[in-house]
Amino acid sequence: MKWGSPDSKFVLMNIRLPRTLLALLVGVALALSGAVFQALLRNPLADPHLLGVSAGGALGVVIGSSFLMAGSLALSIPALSLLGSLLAVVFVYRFSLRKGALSLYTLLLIGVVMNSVFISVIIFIQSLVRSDELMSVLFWLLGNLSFTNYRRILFVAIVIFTSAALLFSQARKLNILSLGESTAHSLGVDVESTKRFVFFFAALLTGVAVSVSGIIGFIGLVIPHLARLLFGSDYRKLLPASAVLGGIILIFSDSVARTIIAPQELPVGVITSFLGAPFFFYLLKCQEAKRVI
Amino acid sequence: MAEILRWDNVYFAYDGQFEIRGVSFVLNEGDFTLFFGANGAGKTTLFRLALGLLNTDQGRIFLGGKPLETWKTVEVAQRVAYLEQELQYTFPFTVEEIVLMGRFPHTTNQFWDRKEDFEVVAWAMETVGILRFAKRSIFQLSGGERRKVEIARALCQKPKLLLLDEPSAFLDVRQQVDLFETLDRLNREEGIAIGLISHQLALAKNFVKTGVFMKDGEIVEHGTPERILTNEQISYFFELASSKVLVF
Repeated sequence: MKWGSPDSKFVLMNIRLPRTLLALLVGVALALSGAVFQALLRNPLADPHLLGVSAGGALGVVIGSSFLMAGSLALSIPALSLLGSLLAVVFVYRFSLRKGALSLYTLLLIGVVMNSVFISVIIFIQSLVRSDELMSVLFWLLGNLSFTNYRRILFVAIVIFTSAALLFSQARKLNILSLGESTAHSLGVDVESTKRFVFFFAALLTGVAVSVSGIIGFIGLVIPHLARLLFGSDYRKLLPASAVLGGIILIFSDSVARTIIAPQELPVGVITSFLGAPFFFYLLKCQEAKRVI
Repeated sequence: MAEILRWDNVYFAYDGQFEIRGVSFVLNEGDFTLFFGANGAGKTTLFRLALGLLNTDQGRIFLGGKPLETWKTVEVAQRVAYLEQELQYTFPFTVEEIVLMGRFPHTTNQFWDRKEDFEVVAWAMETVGILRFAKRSIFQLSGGERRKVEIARALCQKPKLLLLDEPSAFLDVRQQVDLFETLDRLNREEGIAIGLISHQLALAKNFVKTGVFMKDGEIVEHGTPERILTNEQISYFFELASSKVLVF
């Protein structure tokens, strides 16, 4: 296949370009929601998949494709995933309300517990139902950016950029919220409404990203720390920096995943974790050296 | 002197147990008041009620003569600053970034900080003597220095009243003296009224204008430090009759 041939043009426009765009969008979404969850939960180890939103999406897909697909239900994988994520968000949120206030401590605990419950159920279903279709779903779960088209990208782009803009508008409040709820209140931040707002849109970013790419690890955890190391902790700079870095690094990881054992493909989640883990240790070392941890 | 904050026959219960029982007290402009008493006496609860972090079960709280619930959160923050007992930082913000957060109540409509905000921040850091730390990470600072960062942040709120909950806990003697001298200066030179919860009674006696002793959710006694903060009173308040140790 030569450059400029009709075939290469087709591959570029219909396979490579949409896939690159999707990697960009998913990278932006995961890095942003990771950064927001870290401030909301006041936990530097928080990541978008921590609270069960992603596992909920995965479960939605697994249930859908194991039991419902057999019938004539024509819901696509992204739709099933988004539905699962949404139900998980509502569930985790509902059970984290204490006297009408969103308890972040409970949110973290319930999120983590539900996350492992969802994963157990996925494994349970997988043991019961062994089908080829389910195997492809499990492959998708590990993170895969190859199933896409322009219509899907447009939808994802709209949701992600709207959520990103809304979260960006809360950047000052996120700075203050990271000092703790009492201090944030004493500085004049409407703590309850801010918490709900940022939780919802960060969860939406995660749910939408997972629905089109499966569960890609490490971007949401590591990128905000990388951005923090390079640009400081101020969320007004951290959010845009995380978004840009997240997009670039996921595009890079995906091209590695696609080519490293070509013609076979690795799930991109494998690459982000392989690259992410050593890099994360390196970052931790740097921060220790600077006495900031 | 004009009244800033008033607790008017305030009751507060938690899980059916009264933590504050019928407290009435006023903090006026110019005050420098020490709240002391055993742990669990209700001192922190009293402060948290005054900020709207908790709601009274009976009685009312007035800020500037108006009921607290008629003020918006941000309006309270323009008048009263509060330093929590022990603030844990999650991220390596610089000192300047943290102090800038104190401008929030006056600048809710802007996204970026303006020149005026940086001027206020520089003044606040200068006033508490941390200007040279401006660009450092908060994680690199000692406990005493961190308290000063928080006081500088509070100063940026331009408050009439500063409430501090055990700011001198975990500080060494030099840092404690330093902290009290800073508060004294803010009270005298900047005209900021101060309400302070502390167990450092002997040190506080040198600076405060009023002492308030709390026990079991009530204010038992209040008055000048010369009258309240004496060995006889303290051994009576804290039931130390069998001890020969002197506090002052």
